[in-house]
Amino acid sequence: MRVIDTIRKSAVGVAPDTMLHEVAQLMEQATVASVAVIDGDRLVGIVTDRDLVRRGMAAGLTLHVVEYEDTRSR
Amino acid sequence: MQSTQPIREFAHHPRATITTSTTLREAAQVMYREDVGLAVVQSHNGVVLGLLSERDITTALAKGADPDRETVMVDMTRNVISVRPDDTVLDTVLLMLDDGIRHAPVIDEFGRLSGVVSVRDLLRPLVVQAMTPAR
Repeated sequence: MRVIDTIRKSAVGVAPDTMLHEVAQLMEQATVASVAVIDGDRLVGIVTDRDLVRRGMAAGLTLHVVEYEDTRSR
Repeated sequence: MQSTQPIREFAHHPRATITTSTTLREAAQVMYREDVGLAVVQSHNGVVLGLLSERDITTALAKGADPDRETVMVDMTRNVISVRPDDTVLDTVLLMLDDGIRHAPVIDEFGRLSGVVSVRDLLRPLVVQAMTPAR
């Protein structure tokens, strides 16, 4: 089996300037634990629920500003 | 690893313990510092009251919670599915499968927390066993 056979075809994507609380809402609505960050037609990162909690909230960042660069998985 | 072994032999020490007055951000900081995805919410005399996962925090954020004001009391899972220290590995695995959980606190007969067992705690010895050549 190849990885291409197992991936979800309907991944949730957000723009880099999406606010973190909006990402949390998207994760809840789509019942997913990660979202792809897409800049134009380029995949630039992935943000997981763990990233939101650890790199976002635990680090003391405010949730209503753009902090994509600080929170995304690399 | 034997399926009849008591689960206390595989549980790990609960690194992240918090109280009901802990805020969501404080809980996130404890979980980050201790590198765990789950915190156990205890009363001041050590009785387990609930569990808080990273996902619970994400759900709270999605609902618009203020992480500096809202306490874990609001968002924790109250109906905790737990095991006793003497429960067997098999009983624990069956419980986890039936209830779709990845962690279970190990609680003694006095209602006190003695450890936490995760799917990972059980998978690791199984993998080691499977990869060790038979004599």
